[in-house]
Amino acid sequence: MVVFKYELKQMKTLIIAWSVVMAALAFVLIPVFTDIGKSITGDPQQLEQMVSDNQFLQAVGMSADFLSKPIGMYGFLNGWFFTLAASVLAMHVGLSVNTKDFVGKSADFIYTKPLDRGKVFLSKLLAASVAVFTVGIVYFEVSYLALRINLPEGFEMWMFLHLAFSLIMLQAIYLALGIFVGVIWPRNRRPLLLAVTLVFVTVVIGTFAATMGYDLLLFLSPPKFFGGSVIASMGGYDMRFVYWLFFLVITFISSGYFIFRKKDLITV
Amino acid sequence: MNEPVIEVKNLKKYYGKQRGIEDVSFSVQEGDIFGFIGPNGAGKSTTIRTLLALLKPTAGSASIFGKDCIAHASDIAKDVGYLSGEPSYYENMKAREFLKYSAELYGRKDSSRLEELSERLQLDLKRKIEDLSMGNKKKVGIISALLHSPKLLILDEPTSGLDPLMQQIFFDILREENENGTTILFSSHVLSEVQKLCNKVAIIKEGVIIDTQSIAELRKNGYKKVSILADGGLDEDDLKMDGVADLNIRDGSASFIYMGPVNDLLQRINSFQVRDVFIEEPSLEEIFLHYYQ
Repeated sequence: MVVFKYELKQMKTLIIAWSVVMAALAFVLIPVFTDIGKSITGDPQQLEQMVSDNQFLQAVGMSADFLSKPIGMYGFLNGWFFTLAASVLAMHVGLSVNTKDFVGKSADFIYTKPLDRGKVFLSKLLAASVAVFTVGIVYFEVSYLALRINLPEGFEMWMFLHLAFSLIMLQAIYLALGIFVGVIWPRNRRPLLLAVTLVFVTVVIGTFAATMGYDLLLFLSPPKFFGGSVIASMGGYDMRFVYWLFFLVITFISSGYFIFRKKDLITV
Repeated sequence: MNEPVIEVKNLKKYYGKQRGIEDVSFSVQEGDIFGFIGPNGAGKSTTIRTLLALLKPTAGSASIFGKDCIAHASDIAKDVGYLSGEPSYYENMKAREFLKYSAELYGRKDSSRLEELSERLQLDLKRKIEDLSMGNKKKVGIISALLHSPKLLILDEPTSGLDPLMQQIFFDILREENENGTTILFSSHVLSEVQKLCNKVAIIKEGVIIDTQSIAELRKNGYKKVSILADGGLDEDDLKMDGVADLNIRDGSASFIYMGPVNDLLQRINSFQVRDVFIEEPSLEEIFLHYYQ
């Protein structure tokens, strides 16, 4: 628990900064987008026309049916802004929780202490998870509050829960991916750049797959796992993606754990 | 006979095709201050990092306190203090917080040792690590290695960055620790400090241990530094004899390192028209250079 405590302490500023920024943006953007939603849902035909004419909206998985719901524009904002920001954060934290010891050369300090290497790995993973999910939970609560204020007529609670929780699930997959890549490439000096790049690449793959109709490729794009229109049409998540996500999370973390226990620890 | 605290047998480490160490064998007995000397790139840090299980050996074995270094790394680490060659820690932590972290990793909560060591080494614990000079970072590393009063100290180039006064204080601390039963493995390329502190030394060259001796033995072994000034001059042939090394002839005078029967040397010197002669104990540096040629 000592490693966990001190790792978390080191991430304190990051957690606070991200939580505040996510909360502030949720408070500012959710009213704007819900108002836009209200204005476009007045005329269903116009909305249908708008979606069918807009290739971007189609590529990002938006349907007229979904956008016509009170929570529709929140789903769009959540899926195409907040989840991506949270994914970058998760990937960055996952990467840097390991790489910082190799780039900063503190690996000689932490891995020569009377702690099993695997335990240090798990303590760091736990600290990284708490950091990332704290930001996710803060966003979850603030966005609920913002919706309650801005949609006094009410909204589908089950849909909100699915949409907001998808952010936490995406954080889990990108955190696990970050941990794994950090183990394979511990001397990466620019974890933030790598995090942004990888998240962007997965978004591009998903958008390409959706546009071209290559369904199998969607499995390589976590941001496409929990689209708002799919949740609306299926009444929940597409469970194939949920199982796949859990499989990937477990695979990345367990592979990272076993590789890390065996590998040479070489600082820069 | 004391039990070896460190036992290294035919240790080999390759990074892919690149050599780290080729064949390293030595043992360190309880109570030793064991010098480990060699130039940069000879394999000192690789050996130490393998002992600490940061690297897995390609072949051979290493044990500390009779336990395999890799299989029992975390168990061994309880009684080992380590100072790396380039100490680098969590930059955004204050020195006190970092050292508290270090102590807690060994299950220590008492800060009296921390206060005592920081006072002796004149380290300001309130400063952030990123604001510390190289020398002060080294002090943080030294305190971190000594905090839990380990049975074995492994120090990799520990004096780099420390001013001479601080080196003296550091050596005093090490001697005290040694008197209290701590065994020390002291890696360095500065031979005078090994000479000052250690009782035994292993010399490593290109990944291979080329000699292991006590410091006294190393000096006693007949190594003499000889300088002769003779009328009529000297040339290489005049000094062609067993035991002569590092021969330098300049302006008719000769200087060399000699290892062999002193009588033979005196007889040869006697055959010249000697104007002046110096026979002195060579420094470890000069003996060391001899090993490298």
